[in-house]
Formats: sequence, structure tokens, C-alpha cells
Amino acid sequence: MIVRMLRMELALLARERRVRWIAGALAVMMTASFALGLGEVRRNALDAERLTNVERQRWLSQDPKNPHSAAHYGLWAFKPISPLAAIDPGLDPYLGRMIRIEAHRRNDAVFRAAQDAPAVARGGVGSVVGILQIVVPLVVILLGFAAFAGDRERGTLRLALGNGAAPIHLLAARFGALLALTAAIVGVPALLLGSVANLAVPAAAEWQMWPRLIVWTAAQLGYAAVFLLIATAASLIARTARGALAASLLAWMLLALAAPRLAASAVEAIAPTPAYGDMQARIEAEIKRYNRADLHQDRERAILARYGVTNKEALPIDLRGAMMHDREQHDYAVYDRELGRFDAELARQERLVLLAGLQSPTIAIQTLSEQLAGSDLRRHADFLRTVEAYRRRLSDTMNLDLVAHPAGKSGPYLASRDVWAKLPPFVDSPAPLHAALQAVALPAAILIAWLVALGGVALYAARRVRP
Amino acid sequence: MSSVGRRLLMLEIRALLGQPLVIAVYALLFAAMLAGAANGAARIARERAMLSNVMAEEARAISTAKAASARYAKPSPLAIEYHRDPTDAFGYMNYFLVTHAVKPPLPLAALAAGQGDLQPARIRIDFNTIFPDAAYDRGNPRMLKLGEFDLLFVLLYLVPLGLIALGAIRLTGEQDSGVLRMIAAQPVSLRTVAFAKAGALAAISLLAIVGGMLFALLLAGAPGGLPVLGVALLVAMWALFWVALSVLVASYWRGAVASVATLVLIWGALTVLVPTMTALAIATALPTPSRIAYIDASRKAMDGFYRDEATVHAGWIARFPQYADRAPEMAKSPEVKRFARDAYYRKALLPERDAFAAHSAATGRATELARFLSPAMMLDGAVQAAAGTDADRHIAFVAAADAYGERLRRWFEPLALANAAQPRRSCAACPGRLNFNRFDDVPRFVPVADAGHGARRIVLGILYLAAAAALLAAWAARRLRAWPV
Repeated sequence: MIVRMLRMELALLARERRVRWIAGALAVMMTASFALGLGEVRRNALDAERLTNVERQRWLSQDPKNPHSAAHYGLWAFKPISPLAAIDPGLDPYLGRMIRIEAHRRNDAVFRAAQDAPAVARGGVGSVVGILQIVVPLVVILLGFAAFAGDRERGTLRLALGNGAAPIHLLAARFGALLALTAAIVGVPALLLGSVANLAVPAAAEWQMWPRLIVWTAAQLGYAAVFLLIATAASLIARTARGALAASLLAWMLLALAAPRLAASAVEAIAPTPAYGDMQARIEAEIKRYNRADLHQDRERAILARYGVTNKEALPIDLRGAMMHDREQHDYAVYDRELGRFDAELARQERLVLLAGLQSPTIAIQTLSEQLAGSDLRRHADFLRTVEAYRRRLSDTMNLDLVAHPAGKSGPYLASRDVWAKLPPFVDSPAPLHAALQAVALPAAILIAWLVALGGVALYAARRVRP
Repeated sequence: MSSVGRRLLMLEIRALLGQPLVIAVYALLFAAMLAGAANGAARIARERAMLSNVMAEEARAISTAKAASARYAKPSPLAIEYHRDPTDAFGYMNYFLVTHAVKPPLPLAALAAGQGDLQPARIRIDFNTIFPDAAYDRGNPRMLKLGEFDLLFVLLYLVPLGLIALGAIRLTGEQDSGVLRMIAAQPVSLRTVAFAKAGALAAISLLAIVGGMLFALLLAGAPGGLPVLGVALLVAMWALFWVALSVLVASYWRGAVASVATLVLIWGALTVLVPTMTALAIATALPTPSRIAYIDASRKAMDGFYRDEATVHAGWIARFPQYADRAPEMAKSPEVKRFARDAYYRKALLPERDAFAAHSAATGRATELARFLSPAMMLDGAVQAAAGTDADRHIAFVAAADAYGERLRRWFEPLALANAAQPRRSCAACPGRLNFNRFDDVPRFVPVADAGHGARRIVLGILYLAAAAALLAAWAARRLRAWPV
């Protein structure tokens, strides 16, 4: 019986002109934003891949020089881009994409895409995921608010119930039809566009993009189902279609628009973002203090004493190299301590925002969606860690090579390609899929909790529906 | 207005004020405005604290340099290189100088976060960076993405929804319930009735929304004056636009549900869809130059410099004829090597930097033109300009910061070159070179005078929204000639 009712509801929906208009408009919007997103992602991915190879060749082709000079020459590292960033850029527009790797300085990732974008871009939904998470809920509300309330006003609900249709079967059939429609006009395009992204952007296999895409699409449909349940429950409870529409729109406005921003402001009030400039100033002051001339000279004397000599020419090692290596170890500890504190505060804010997902499914889906698409903060943090580990390897390799080659009678030591080649190519691989799935467990649970709670409300309302 | 009209207007006002839904909507909007203004005030407090810390940091750096100077001015066996010597002009410039270009918040900054949370309010002048335009303050990207719950958000997104909730059913609700037929039987024109209903809503909304906004701004510590009056007028026109639109949609007599749905769709189109399509169109027509290509260009410049170092050094010092006789020795000094290298990189990357500047300017012009497509975009641009958190102000700030950096170079150059030409020590037994002690004379950054920033945009916004509201009201009046019954 439910299946028959479901087929009938689907047939009725398919005949409605507004459904075709909505499907067409969504397809156009999603395709337009995807086209631009894909172009940018593909261009950046290919450019990054090319320049990574060029940088490697530049590094290896350096002329013979002091190894510390080579460490200053350094190289650039580029963050690999997830193919799904074409449909869900996540936090990537607000994060730097490339880092200069050099001695003495732990540089920030620079050039955030959001700073180059037009000012009006921040007010819009310029990506496929923006459309899915802001526009689609509005669309499903407009499709679903009259599911029962409209019938009640026309008097046809009384007829349907009077013909023996159980309210719960009616709910299942109508909700099922609307969900199937949503899957068709939203899920199918999302899957198609994601597939195109996986095929067009290099290294999709490394990201395990196909299973990610399937889980990601299912999550978006689950999120749309939350608002569909809101509209259906409102339709069951409200006396008029107008009331159902007003209640659903209020819910959408509060949950999808206001709550995320309120959560951001509340988290900022409870756990303020630490002042990055203050942290940089502390790091700089501590490093400068350590490098003060008198302290520097004391450390030189200590090295001379360790080797039992009184002048640097008698040392079996290069003094300057040893001092630079020592300084780098000190600076690493300073960076680790200060940046560790800063990142811990950001992580605390992330946890608080995630908890705010209990008050808004939009927050939960945003976090979940980014993690699956590989455009989240954890991915960025992994990239920064990989870069810093590589920078330390570069610096230590060059300094220790210098230490091992004190200037001889033939003149200053000049390293060459065999030394440069000791540093392997820079490689940053994304975490495996199971790590992402572990990370999304909590936001997924929150989204499921919303579905279960709203499903319960809809069932309860269906049992008590009055025609 | 006829006496019947006046009586109806007063009746409608009393009826509106007696409805719990109306009180609830205005109370919610007021609470939202208070929250928005409070968040704005908190943001300004954070910015001011940051700027205060910046000044303290600069003062500390100067006192540290002075203390080191005092130490190094006494005879001692300590030998120090120039990059550890704050008493050397060149050493101080590159390794001890701490100075920033700053962009203080404007008096109405509490109105809107705008681009202010994304773009830095301070730029550290760093002669060691090859990309002075890459500066930003690393905050929490999650907060940037979610956006601030500020006054502009409330005005742009929530106020129209509140007005739709109240205004969409003023006429159509009576149509649906059949009361309209009874009103039509009275000796009163449809236009009089519609005007009374719309007028009542407009009057109460102006009081509640504009008054609420002003009160919220007052609590946030924003000063009064002409800019606030301008913003109040702007918001008043915005509210009237939505009241007029509600009446126009109602004049199509499609029922309350269809009216609400239509208005919400129009709201979605104006506040979300049109900005999205505009941003996509601008990004397509004016693609951002590649930052990766910019980096590649910098590396090529670096390689080019190191291939021809000696020629570059000699070419740079040749610009100073007063040092012609000492040029060959000076070309080997760290001062000349560094100045020559920095000048070479700046010149080599100028085409790329100009391309980015041209792109910013073109994008800005296209955005300002596109704002005419949507009243929401017009309001957004005007309020951001009033708050001083718009893109234009930041572009001007970055240019001023760059000019300041160059001015500092020009200030230190003669001092450093004089020492490179004739390295001398006033105290042979002292560790410091003691050729520089003008720590307090180093030029400071003077923020760009921003008085009246945004005035043009506010006036334009007021005129645009007033014209739009008037057009919609005239259109609605034309349609409301006869009763639909």
C-alpha cells in the first residue's frame, strides 16, 4: 500500500510545473558555480604540480655554494588540492595555499583566495556546497510545506484519511516522494559534478575520492532531509498552509542563516581567537634575545671549550655551522611552544563550534562536508606540519653538512649537487579515508540526531493529525 | 490625506500594535540588532587592543635597541656583526626596527565586519619579505567562513524577513478570510485602505527598526553625527523598500501563501542569488592572476639576480654619483648588496604586482557597478563603506603601507651608504659601530585620513533605495485602482 501511495505521490510531483522549474534553476546554479570552481581548482592543482617539480629542479641545480646560503635560497611548497574542493571549497579560501621554506623563518602559508575574490562573494553561495546547504533547504521547504496543510485547507485530507489511508502511511508516502525528488534534483547533479571533478583534477586516487564523494552526497541528502522533515512536521501541525510555511521559513532562517553566525560570535566570546600578532611578537623577541651578541659569544666560547681549543681555526668542525644549527634547535622549540598554544586554542574553538551543531544542523553538515571533501582545518594543519618537518630537515641537513666541513686552507667550503640531493622531494599526502571518517563521526552523529528527533516529531504529529 | 484615510491609518496602527505577532517580530529584530551591535563593539575593542599592543611592541623594540646601544657604547672585548648591532643604521633597519602600518577602526565600525575580519588591520614593515602584499593576520578560518552576526547581517537578512512576515498578509490575509469583500462594500477606496495598512506598517517599522538600530549603535559606543544620520536614512529607505514590495506583491491577489512565498523568493534572489551570480560573473570576466605564477616570477627574479650579482650591485651603486670613486669597494659591502638585491626584486616583480593591483581595481569597479542590480547589494556596499570595512579602504591602506615601506628605505639609505663608504668607529674598543642613534626619529606611519569615507556611497544608497521604494509604491498604487472582488 505504501509503495502504491509512494508511486502515486511521485507521479503527482513529476507533473507539477514548479518542480521542473526548481530542478532546472538548481541545475543551472550548480553547474555555473561548479564550472568556475572546477576551472580554478584544476588550474591551481596543475600549476602547483608543475611548480613543485620546477622548484625541485631549482633546488638541485643550485651552483656550488655555502650550504647555509642554499638553506636561505630554500624552496616553495604548495598545498595539494582535493578534487572535491571544486564543489566544496570548505575552509580553503580562508587559508594560505603556499609556503616559503627557508632557514631561520617559519613562514605562514600565504595568498588566501578569499582575499582576491570580489567583495560580494562573501554574501553569496558561490559554490555547489553553498547552494546545497543554504538554497536547497529553502527549496525543500517550499516543496513540502503544503504536503498536509494544503490538503487540510482544501478538504482533501479528510477524504484521504476517510478512505482508510493511515496517517503514518500517508506521511511515509509523501515524505518518501519528496525525498526521492530531492535526491533526483540535488543528489544526482551533485554526484555527477563530483565525478567530473574527480576525473578532471589530478591525484583523485590518492584522495580516495570516489568513496568520499558517495558519502559526501549522502550527507548532503541527509541534511536536506532535515529541512524536509521540518516542513512536513509543520505541515502536519499547522492549521493552515500559511502557518506551515511561516513556521518552516522561520526554522530555516534560524537554523541555516542566524544560528551559524550566532555560534561563531558565541564561541568568540567564550574562547576568543588568540592575537596572532602578539604571538609573532613574542616569538621574535625570544629569538632576538637568544641571538644577542653577548649570549652568542658565550655559546661560541662553550663550543671552543668543548673541543679544548682556544680559536675557531683549531676546531675540527665549522663553528658558524654549529652555531646556526644550535640556533635553529632553539628556534624550533620556540615555534613549537607558541604555535602549539595558538593551534590548541583554534582546536578548542573548533570543538565548541561543533557542539553548536546541536543547535543547528547547518553547522554539523559544514564540518562533516569539509572533512569529507578534504578542505578542512585538519587537512591544512597536516600540511603545515609536513612543511615544517621538511623545513627542519632542510635546515639541519645543510647546517650539519657545513659543520662537518670546516673551511680549510683551500678556502671556504662549497657544497654542490650531491649535498642538495640529500634532501628528498617535498611530498604531502592526504590522510587516508578512514581518518576522515573517524573525524566526521561526531558531526554525522549530530546530523543523525536531528533526523531522528525530527522524524519522531513528524511521526507523533502524523498520529495525532486532525483533518 | 483625507480624514477617512487619517482615521484608517490610526486604526491600522492601533491594530498592528495590538497584535502579539507584530510585537514578537519587532522584539526579535531589536534583540538581534542589540546582539549585532554588541558583537561589533567587541570586534572594535579587539582591534583597538591589537593596535595598542602594536604600539607597545614598537616602543619596547626602541627601548631594547637603546639599552643595547648603551651596552655597546662601552669598551668591551665583545665583537658583534652588523646584524646584531642596533647602533649600525643598516643593522637596525633590517634586524631591530619594529614598525607597522595600521588601519584604525572608523567610528561606525560596529555596523559591519565587512572585509575587516579578512583583511589585516596592521602590516608589519618587513624588509626581508619579497611579497609585502601577502600580509594577513592568521585568525580562525572557521569564524571567517561562518561570518559575524553583526548589525549589517541583521539589517540585510533578518529585517526584510520580519517585514515580509508582517507585511505580506496585510491585504491578502483579508482576501483569504473573505473580510476584504466586506471592506470593499464600505465607501472607501482600495488605495486608501492599502495606504493605511502600508502606512501603519511603515510608520511602526521605521520607528522600531531605525530607532532600534540607533539605540544599538549608541550602546555599542558609536558616536552620533552626520554619518549616523546618513545610515539611519539609508536603513529607513531599505525598510520602506520592503514595505512597498509587500504591497506590490499583494496587489496581484494570489493569496497569502503565494504572497509570502513570492516575497521570500524575491528576498532570496536579492540577498543571495544576485550577489552569487554577480561574484561568479566578475570572477569569470576578471580572473585573478595566478599567485603561483607570481611565486614562479619571484624565483626567476632570484635566479636572475644570483646569475648576475656583481653587475646588479655595480649598477645600483652607480646611481649615486657622490660615491663614484668608492663604488667598487662599496659594491662588496652588505649594505649595497642588500639594497641592490631588494631594488632588483621590486623592479622584476613590478609587472606582477601591477597586474594584481589592476585586477583589484577592476574587480572593485565592476562590483560597485553591479551593486545597482540589487538593493541588498547597494545597502551592503553603503553600510560597509560607512563602517570603513570595505574593500576600497583596504586597497588604499595596502598602497599606503607600501609607500611607507619605501619611504623608510629612502630614509635609511643615505645613513647606511655613508657608513658603507667610510666605515668608521668612533670608539675602536666598543663592540657597537655607534653610527646610528636616531631611534626616535624614524618616520612613523600616519593612517590615511578617512573623514567622510563612505559618504558618497551612503548618499548614493539613500537615493537608489528611495527611488526603488517610490517606483514600487507607484507600481502598486497603479494596480490597486479597483477591488479584486
